[in-house]
Amino acid sequence: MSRETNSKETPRSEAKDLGFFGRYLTVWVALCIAAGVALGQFLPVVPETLSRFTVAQVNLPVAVLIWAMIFPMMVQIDFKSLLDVRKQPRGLTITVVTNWLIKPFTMFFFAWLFLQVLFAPFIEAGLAREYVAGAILLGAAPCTAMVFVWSYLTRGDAAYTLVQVALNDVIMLFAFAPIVLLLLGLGDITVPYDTVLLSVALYIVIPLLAGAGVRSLLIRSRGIAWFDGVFLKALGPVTIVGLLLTLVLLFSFQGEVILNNPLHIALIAIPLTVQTFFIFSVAYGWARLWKVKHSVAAPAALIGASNFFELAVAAAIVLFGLNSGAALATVVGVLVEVPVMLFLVRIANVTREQFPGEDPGVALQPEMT
Amino acid sequence: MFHHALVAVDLSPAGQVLLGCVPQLRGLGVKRVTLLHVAPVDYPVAGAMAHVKEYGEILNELAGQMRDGGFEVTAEARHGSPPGEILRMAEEAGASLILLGSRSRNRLRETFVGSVALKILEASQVPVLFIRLELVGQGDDGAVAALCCPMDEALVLAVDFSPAGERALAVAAELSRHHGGRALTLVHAAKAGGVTSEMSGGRPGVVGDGGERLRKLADRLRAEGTGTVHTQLEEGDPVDAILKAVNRAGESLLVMGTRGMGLLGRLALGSVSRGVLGKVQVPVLMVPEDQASRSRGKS
Repeated sequence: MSRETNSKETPRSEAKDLGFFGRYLTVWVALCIAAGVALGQFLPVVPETLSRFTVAQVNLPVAVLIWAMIFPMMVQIDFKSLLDVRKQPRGLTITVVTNWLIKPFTMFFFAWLFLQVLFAPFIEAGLAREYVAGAILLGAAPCTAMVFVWSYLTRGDAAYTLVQVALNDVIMLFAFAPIVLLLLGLGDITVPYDTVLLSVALYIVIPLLAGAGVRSLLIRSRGIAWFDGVFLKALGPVTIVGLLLTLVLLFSFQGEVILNNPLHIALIAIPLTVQTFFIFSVAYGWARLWKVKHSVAAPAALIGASNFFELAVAAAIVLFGLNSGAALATVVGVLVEVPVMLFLVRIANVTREQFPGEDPGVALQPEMT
Repeated sequence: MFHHALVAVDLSPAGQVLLGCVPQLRGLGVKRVTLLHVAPVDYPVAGAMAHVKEYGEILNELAGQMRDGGFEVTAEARHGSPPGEILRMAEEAGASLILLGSRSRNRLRETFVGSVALKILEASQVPVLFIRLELVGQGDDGAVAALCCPMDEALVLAVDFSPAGERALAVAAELSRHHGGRALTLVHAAKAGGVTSEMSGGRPGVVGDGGERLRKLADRLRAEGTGTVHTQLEEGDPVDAILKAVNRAGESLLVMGTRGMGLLGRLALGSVSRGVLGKVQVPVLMVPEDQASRSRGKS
């Protein structure tokens, strides 16, 4: 017997069920900020040397680190799950509309409102525009990795979660560049069209295709137990090292910005947090109105609230550079991710009873026929 | 004694070797087995949850083979936090024993990724049987051997005279009496210099009268019906002392008491447990203190 849902009887502690790295992600990011700033101040030769290895606008050490972050995300996407795409039409409608027609625009709105209007006395105009650009990149792609954890912590339907991640990533392939270009244009932020396409090709198209190919090849040749138990297990630390080293390197270029404007991180965090709560409320409230069962409603709402921060960091570096305000803003997204999302997970769990119930054994059944 | 065992199966090629030890559980009285595989969901690796259905099918095949071996077997695949789901499943299924494979790793990696085994040990209400898995090939993909042996042979009990160890004592005594009348060796470890053993939780005054207390305990067990009881008092590192007793006993089952008491208790527990689990060549039965004792300790 296999089971996709877990018992309703046993209470769980959300944070305890997160692994050591995920649970303290905020701490690791803060430590990387400190280490990066210290590196830039005391050993500037390191970032200076690394920045010389650039070919066709692409810094090779950074590209390797970003690939180490993103490829493991992509290789885990189960595109076969798209065969079940018609099984949860309401949940998928909510996630697609929220993620692609609402989220990028509200992210732009909140970032503009707070960073360029309300906080104008505290942030220089050019820097504020760069922060907004970073927020746009965060808002332009829904979460791909952490959402599995958020779904599990809310006893989400695993099959539905897999489908919504695969579907959103296929849409991202085509929608990321147009949305980013449109919103950057609205924000009066100029980036070369070909640079956006380069970032999409480098950090979405190639890793997505490579991930799907490697996944298919390895599962066929070595089986799922080897793929999951050996290959993915080995990739986990690669992602972690890639993420942390990218952040250290990034902040070795950000020393001046951070030291001159230490409060900016808190100011950037405010619109990002407001956006997270807003998007969750929209999707979760919509799901309640449509009487979607909780195991679908929760992951449908949480995927939009959470961001594909690895991709946002990568795109910010390519489009605006390691020393840009945009790159800083995307890292603030990583910084607030876990505490804010755990809070939303808790909200989802305590409001479970307000949604239609379900028998644990039928979680894989279609929501509507 | 342990009617129902939850066997946490790692379905990676290395992990399946643990299943070869399941027939030995008869020596502990096990008649019913629940096989559980947890596809881990964590950041940044959660992709295995896509294969829960396939894992369920693999487990069902394995369950069929075990039924042929005379066990009553159920199987389930889940996704989530491995320690959390193993503990939940043990509670839901009413298992009286959890069987885990314990694989030696380098210290940094274990600290960094956290230890499933230690988390289970900290929170489990039922005894946990660890069988050490030893790498005999290269890397994670290399061959692994499970260091199991007949569990109806001699017993070694690590004694610390603490209330937390009472349940382990009771379990060892019952195993000795009701499963083959096997010999039981009581080993007490105390640091040189007459301070205390690490396992005694920092209580002074143990080493001075340790030998006498061991003898009294052995007499009590004999009076209660335990046949052959040996005692062994060692000074020095608790891990070395326990390993020495195990080596002397030969093929045996080591029984240790554990306490689930917050960070400090966990660290102390971890250092002895890790030391023993990393070197011992026989199965280790870790017995948590009973709830009443745990409550008294907290109040």
